Amino acid sequence: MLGRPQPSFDRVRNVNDWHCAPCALAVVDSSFSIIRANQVFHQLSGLTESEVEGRRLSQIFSRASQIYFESILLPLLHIEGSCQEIALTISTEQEAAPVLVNINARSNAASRLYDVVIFPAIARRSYEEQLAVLKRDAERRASWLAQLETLSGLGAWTYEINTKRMLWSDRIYELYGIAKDAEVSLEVALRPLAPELRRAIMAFIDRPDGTREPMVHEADFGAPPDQVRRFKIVAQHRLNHLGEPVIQGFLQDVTEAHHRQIELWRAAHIDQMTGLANRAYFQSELARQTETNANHLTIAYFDLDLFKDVNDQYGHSAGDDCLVEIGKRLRAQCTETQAFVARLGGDEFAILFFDKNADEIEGLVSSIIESIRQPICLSDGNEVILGVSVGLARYDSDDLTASSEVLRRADLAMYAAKTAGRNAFAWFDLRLDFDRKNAKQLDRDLKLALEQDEFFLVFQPQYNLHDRSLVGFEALLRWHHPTKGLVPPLDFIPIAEANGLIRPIGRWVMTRACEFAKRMHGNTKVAVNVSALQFRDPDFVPFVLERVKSLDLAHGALEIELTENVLLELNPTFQVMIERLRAHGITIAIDDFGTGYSSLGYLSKFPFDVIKIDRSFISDLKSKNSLRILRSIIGMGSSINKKIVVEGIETLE
Amino acid sequence: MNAQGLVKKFAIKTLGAVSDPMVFAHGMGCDQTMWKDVAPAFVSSNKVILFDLMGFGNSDRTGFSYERYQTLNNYADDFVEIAEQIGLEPVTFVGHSVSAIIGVLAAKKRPDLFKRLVLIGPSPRYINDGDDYYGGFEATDIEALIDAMRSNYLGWAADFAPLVMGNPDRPELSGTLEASFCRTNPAFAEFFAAMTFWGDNRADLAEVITPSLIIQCSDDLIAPKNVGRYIAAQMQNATLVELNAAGHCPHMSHPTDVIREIRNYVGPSATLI
Repeated sequence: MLGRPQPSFDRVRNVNDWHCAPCALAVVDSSFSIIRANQVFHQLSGLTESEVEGRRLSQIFSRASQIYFESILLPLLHIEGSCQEIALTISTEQEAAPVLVNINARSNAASRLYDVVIFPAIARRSYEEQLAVLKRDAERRASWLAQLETLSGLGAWTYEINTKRMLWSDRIYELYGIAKDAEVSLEVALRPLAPELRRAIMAFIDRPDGTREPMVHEADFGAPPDQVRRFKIVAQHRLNHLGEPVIQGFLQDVTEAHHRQIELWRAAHIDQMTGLANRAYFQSELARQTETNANHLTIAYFDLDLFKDVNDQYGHSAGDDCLVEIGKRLRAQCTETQAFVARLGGDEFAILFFDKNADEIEGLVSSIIESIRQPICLSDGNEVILGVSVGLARYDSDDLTASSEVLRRADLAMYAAKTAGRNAFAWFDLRLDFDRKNAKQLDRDLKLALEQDEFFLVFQPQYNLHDRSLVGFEALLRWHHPTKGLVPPLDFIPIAEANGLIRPIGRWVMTRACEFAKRMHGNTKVAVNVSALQFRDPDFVPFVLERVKSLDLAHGALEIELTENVLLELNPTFQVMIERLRAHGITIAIDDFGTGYSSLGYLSKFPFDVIKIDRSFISDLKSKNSLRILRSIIGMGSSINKKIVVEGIETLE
Repeated sequence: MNAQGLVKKFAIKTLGAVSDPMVFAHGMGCDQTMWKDVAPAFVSSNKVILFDLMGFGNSDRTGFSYERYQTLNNYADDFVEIAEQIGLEPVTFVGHSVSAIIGVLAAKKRPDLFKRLVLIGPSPRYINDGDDYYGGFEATDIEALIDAMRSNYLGWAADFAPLVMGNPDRPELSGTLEASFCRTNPAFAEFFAAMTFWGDNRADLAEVITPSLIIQCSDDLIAPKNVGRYIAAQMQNATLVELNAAGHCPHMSHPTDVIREIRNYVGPSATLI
């Protein structure tokens, strides 16, 4: 019980003292019936002296206080003998008055008596009620703030500059994994941050008064790595409610937004299939480097060879497997060098190299080409081998070339490498650029050339080497360009092949050559060059036969010259087509013999009549080897009963 | 749970003889100390068992949760557990006020465990129910009581102590009041009072077959006379005695009367015969 001795009313002998006490006094028996009470008690209870005596004490109280008194206080009084400052309400007919009740048992009495002291407690009660309201309010605000903190991912803190005290909200305690009532300091708060961020915050705290600009940073908190979360740290100099300088701030969990940002960035910058940079990222990186990097840059532009065949033969997922694998190999090749690897799209890749001289670049690129040529295992178990053509372009800091132009140059060089033969690299040089521009113009002009009748044929005579008699002519296509004059076939035939004009041009040539042959009355043959592309056109042979038939050309009047490449395809339908042409008296010659892939296998497989030996053998006749080769080809030709035509003989020698 | 676990959980004390067990269950607002003037009268004839209801006195509060104790029936389960542990003999159960009703619920669940019920100041429902039933209270009274408990100095002293740093004028109050008040946590006291006063267990009375004694005070604000009569009429095998006593705690205010009535009902003990 309370340590303080409780006074007994036995000592209150003076009636004035009894009645003038500033509180209600009563003595009750063991049944809590009132034996006597003072005047203040009468006033407070609104009862007369005769009404009070013998009345049960609880009956002066309000209904709720009665229940409380009977069910809770009485057991306590029986056991403890006293209770102090119990808040109850006295009910009179007029009003309900809050009071505080003290009851003490007299220990010396044989029959137990209790002294009762009742203080009016209107002020006290209203103060208590205010406190209760404040408490509820504080609890509500605290729980509201805690919910807001959770909802927003915010944790608030304040640092008092003068006292160096740190105040944290519950959320921050949770975040730091520190018990909520623990003392925390600025040092504790800064501990998990990176040193430079720590320095930045310290510098911010030391900034002079009046600084109102908030500080905003982002930092990662937490370990292990899969539990790391991203926080936005905001701090601002302010004055608290007492006018003292403080730094207030918050931590905001921005992990999700941060991840979204990374994802958005990845979606915009990273090629999904290979995980490499995409074209846009490569271009922006290239632009950034050309603007800021003071040194040399080299772009390597990669284009896979035969990739389309993989897609056609094994399906697109096989193609995807290849791209992923190539991406890995490119990256693996660049691990030890400063390089930026990207997939530009389709089967095109690019690498940006920094500060490498030409030798180093060529070494690197050669080993990349080698690695790409290694067999690739597809997920379905098949294995394919790809090749790659690489274009290289250089950018130096004093270069005035735009970055997009650098990429275009590498692209051009890549085409040059592809044309020159695969699995090779080529450096860009300005001539390539000129060729390309020229080719574009020719492409446009070529489309008009047929309509405007700018083509014409020249017929080159062919002689029998034994009796020097004229055996025939080779029809050669010439283009008289309205401004450029004569354009060599080597300059425009590849363009016509690329843009598809080769077919109408080829038919025009065939028609004109046949007409010429007709005019020659069939005495001499006319040879016409036919490209592989033309030969693949299923309408080609019927067209030739129709020409021959309508002009009623004699057998042997028309000869078709095919390059080795046509025959090399070993295409059975080609064989059938050649047989049909021969059946109608058209002879077949193999053009440029000895320049292509020198397989003699096709000589026996394909039915042909004439071998034309390339002029490169002739121009070099002074060398004994060339002469021997020439002789042996001629010997071989006559042994299988074929005619031999040697190109480029202009002298009698 | 084993015997020792149960002893700790409910602060069980066993006194007196080895047979004819008599269990005393205290009412709201205190603990087994309530029986200090009654229980000793039976130690020579009975095995006397005292315990504290979960949440009161020295009961192990780690066993309490608001989920586990939602109705008086959950407290009745504790009684059953204690009665089961006592042994082969059915017990005489003495319960005051709310514990009287908890005893009724326990006997309804497991009649085999109970020999007799002694119900002191029971009320199956405190709130009046139209013209059919007079419990003595209106719903507003109960609301006012809960409110009084909540706003009472006792009620908020313990909660508020850390926030207002106690009463600066009376520093001894904030720390000691809760401890002195039968060691009951104010929030729990409010919860238990609500569970008790809002309850309605009238329908359970008729299902009890155990012979029962109802001890009713003549002037009890908490359980008026007609409530005692109502219970006696509803139960199958009940005897009603009315004491000429005021208040709700005759076992504390009039212990000799209570001892006499119990003794009359249970008869002389075997050892005395």
